[in-house]
Amino acid sequence: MNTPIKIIIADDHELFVNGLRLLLKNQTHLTISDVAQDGKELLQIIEKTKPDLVLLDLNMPRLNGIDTARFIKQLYSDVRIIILSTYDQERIIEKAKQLGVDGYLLKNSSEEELLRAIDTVMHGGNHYPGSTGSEITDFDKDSKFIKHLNLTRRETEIISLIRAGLSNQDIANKLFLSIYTIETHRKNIMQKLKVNNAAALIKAAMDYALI
Amino acid sequence: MIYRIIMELTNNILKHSQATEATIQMVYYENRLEIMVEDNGKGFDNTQRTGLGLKNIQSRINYMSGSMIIDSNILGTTIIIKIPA
Repeated sequence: MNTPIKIIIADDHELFVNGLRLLLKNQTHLTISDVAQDGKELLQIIEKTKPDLVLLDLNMPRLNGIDTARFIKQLYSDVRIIILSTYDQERIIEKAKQLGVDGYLLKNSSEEELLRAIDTVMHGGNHYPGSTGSEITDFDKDSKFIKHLNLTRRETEIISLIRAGLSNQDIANKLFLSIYTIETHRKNIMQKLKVNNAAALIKAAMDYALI
Repeated sequence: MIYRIIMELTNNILKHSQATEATIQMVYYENRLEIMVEDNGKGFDNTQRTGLGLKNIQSRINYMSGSMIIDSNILGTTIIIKIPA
């Protein structure tokens, strides 16, 4: 018998990870060697365990999935990556393709689809959504996406003003709000996008194709 | 208690603000809960808190050692409430 495919799961949602474990337990050709809670931890584990495949969440603390994927592909080009995400958003999927990510699966995919995707990428192929999925208009996808992050219209407005280089005071003047309100919005946006400075905020917003 | 506060604020928007849109959100932080209620109504003069509603809200917030900041003008009102965990 061949040695089983060594898999690392990187996801900060415990229930989801446990579900995956349970699901893959019956597959004797697969073994889950480690679980990482965030991107940084994942990179450390990869260095040690040299997995064949990483199942990667996009929205993780410390180092997000897109950046993590970029590092993995640069440092360990033979490690295959399948992104497991709730985001059905064209620009993110495109980004994943550009980075050389081998597969992209939505978290609501079936067990069969996951196994098929693993099989495909382990044989050197790619597995991306879209070919069989139903067509959704861009508008629907965008609004669905914003809903995922729970950003309000005001918050997306403020993100684009921050990106335009306006200070909190400028934004306050422009929107006729107090600077305290803008500061609060800003903190809330950072909390929602899981970032802790303005540069990371802009980057996250761009990665998530919000602006 | 938080439910009451939000009900009261929602009521205010419906009864007085003439807003066409409103957002109510709660954001959880490690050390506090933040409630943000926004509308695009006509606003009110925050220096003259005559109504019983806002006084009630303020005393509930005081009871929880929280804070409430009201940012209101003719273009709308944003109310930010912070309650420590």
